[in-house]
Amino acid sequence: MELSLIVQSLLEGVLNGSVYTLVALGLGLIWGVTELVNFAHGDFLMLSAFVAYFLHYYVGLDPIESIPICFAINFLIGFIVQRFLLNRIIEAHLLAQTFSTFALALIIRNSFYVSLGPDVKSISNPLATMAVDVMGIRLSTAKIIATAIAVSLTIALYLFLQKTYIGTAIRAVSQNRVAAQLMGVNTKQTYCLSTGIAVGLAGVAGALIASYYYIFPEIGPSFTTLAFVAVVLGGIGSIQGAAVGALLVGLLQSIGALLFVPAIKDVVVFLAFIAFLTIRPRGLFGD
Amino acid sequence: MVGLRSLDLKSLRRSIDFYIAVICFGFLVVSPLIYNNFFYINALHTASVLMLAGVAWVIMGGYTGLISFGHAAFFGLGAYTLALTYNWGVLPWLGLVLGGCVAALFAAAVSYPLLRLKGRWFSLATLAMAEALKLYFNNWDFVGGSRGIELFRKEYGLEWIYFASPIYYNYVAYAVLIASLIVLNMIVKSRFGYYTQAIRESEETAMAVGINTFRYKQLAMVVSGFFTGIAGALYTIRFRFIDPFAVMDFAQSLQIIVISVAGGIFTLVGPIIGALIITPIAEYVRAVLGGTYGAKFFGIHMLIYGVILLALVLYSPGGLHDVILKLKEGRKRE
Repeated sequence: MELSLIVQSLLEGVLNGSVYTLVALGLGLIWGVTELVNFAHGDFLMLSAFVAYFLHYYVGLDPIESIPICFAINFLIGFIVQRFLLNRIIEAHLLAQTFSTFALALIIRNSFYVSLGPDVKSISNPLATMAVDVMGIRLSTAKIIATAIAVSLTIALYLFLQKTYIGTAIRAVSQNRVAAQLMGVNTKQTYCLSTGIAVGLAGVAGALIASYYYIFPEIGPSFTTLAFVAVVLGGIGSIQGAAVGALLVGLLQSIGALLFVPAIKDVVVFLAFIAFLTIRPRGLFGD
Repeated sequence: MVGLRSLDLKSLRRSIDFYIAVICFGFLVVSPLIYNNFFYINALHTASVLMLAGVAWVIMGGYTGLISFGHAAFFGLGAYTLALTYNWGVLPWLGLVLGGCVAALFAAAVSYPLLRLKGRWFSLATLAMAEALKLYFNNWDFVGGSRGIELFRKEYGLEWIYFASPIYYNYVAYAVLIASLIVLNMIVKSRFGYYTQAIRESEETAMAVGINTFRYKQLAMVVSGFFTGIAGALYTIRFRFIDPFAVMDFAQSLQIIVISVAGGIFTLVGPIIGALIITPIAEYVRAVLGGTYGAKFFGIHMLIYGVILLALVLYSPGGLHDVILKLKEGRKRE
């Protein structure tokens, strides 16, 4: 096997992984603050990819330009879902908590199937076909831009959580709900804000993916699953862990596609995940 | 830890469950004789396969508190085992049991890593497990890959479970279902059933009184996997053609979950009520509005499943079984 091929696919893995980071961060943030697993996370991403597609189709916006709109729309949806649905079941038993976001995922996904059909769509813009060529290693320009945006947003989220008042409130609620409430933090509002931000990040990922990937209603579940693997690999409840876990997932996919058939790259991710769980169930950064 | 249900209705439930089961089975056996419609008989067959898988799911989801989104893996393993052994010349009656055994072995193997996760993370991991298995089967030439397997032996008779009239398949399915229910009822009423319920209510307390929680959770997975495997094999023997997307797709897990939650997951008759009511409706909606790829409202039955599921968890987490119990209790008090 040629060295350049190996380097190429490892770099591809890092590029893919940095987009997964946005999805995994959201999943981890919602879990950390509300202790809910958002099964609909990948479907919010799919929804946003369709928003980007229609903005391109009707308005002529490039997916990169539609990122703020996608973030805003998904933020609103996340906020509303948390406010009117998830806040009701936050104290409920495991069954209701598990099935509510899961049912939400089904409703979102299949609404798209029913209204738009199962056809695969894609955006044909010049970015999708451009590539950067360095010493025989070709990388898609769209993916490099996506990585740059994903990395800067990850840093922005970190600074937001560390430096701002709302960020401090979110961290306080995730550490101890009751204590945060006693200190005067409006916990219900904090839940809504953090879910809004998390779903908004999935929206950004959706817009980024729209510029180089196929768009159809079924893309959600695989992103939910991969983000979940990333969160568990990194350690449940750790922001840095989710980012590192997502990069690992991207790398594992590349290695799987390189060593076996590309179609079973997710099987490799899952096998590595099982192996990892048996050795270290708390994840890399878990406590 | 909040308990999942109050236990004061227990003695009432024990007697009422038996009558519910008798009424449901009476309906399953008699109604196809009166309304002899090919589509309806098929819908009842699908319902009875889902009942068996649902009852198996309830052993994990309801009795042990391990909510699985990956039962399609067990279902598919049972289906594939029967298809392969049938073509090799093994009698399908043995194939049914073998299908269950393969699924149970798989459950035992995956339980080691999966049970390291708790609650919702366990659920997500089962989902990932089933998806990975489906992708693997889709690329595995030994089992036909994405082309699937067809049962090629064409010998009519009960021995090979191959009939000219579809209604006989229904009676084979009912017989297997009743036999499995009797065994499962014994299992649930044994020490095992009480231990798993103790684990569901509070794992720490169960551990404190000396229950080996890992061992009993693993046993619940094995029992559940075994009977789901049999359900998958029953599906194969009727439709005689399978591919990974027909038997291992997430939609399969979903159907099992929805009928169980709709009927009530804390009792063995829950999935029976749920499947009897929901499956014919869903099949009808799918046939009339949904159809296959390219049809107008592709996915509408899944959308309906989602809406039913959300409404149930918000307003009646105990399912239809709880509604029946409340009606009965209300009448007694008057």
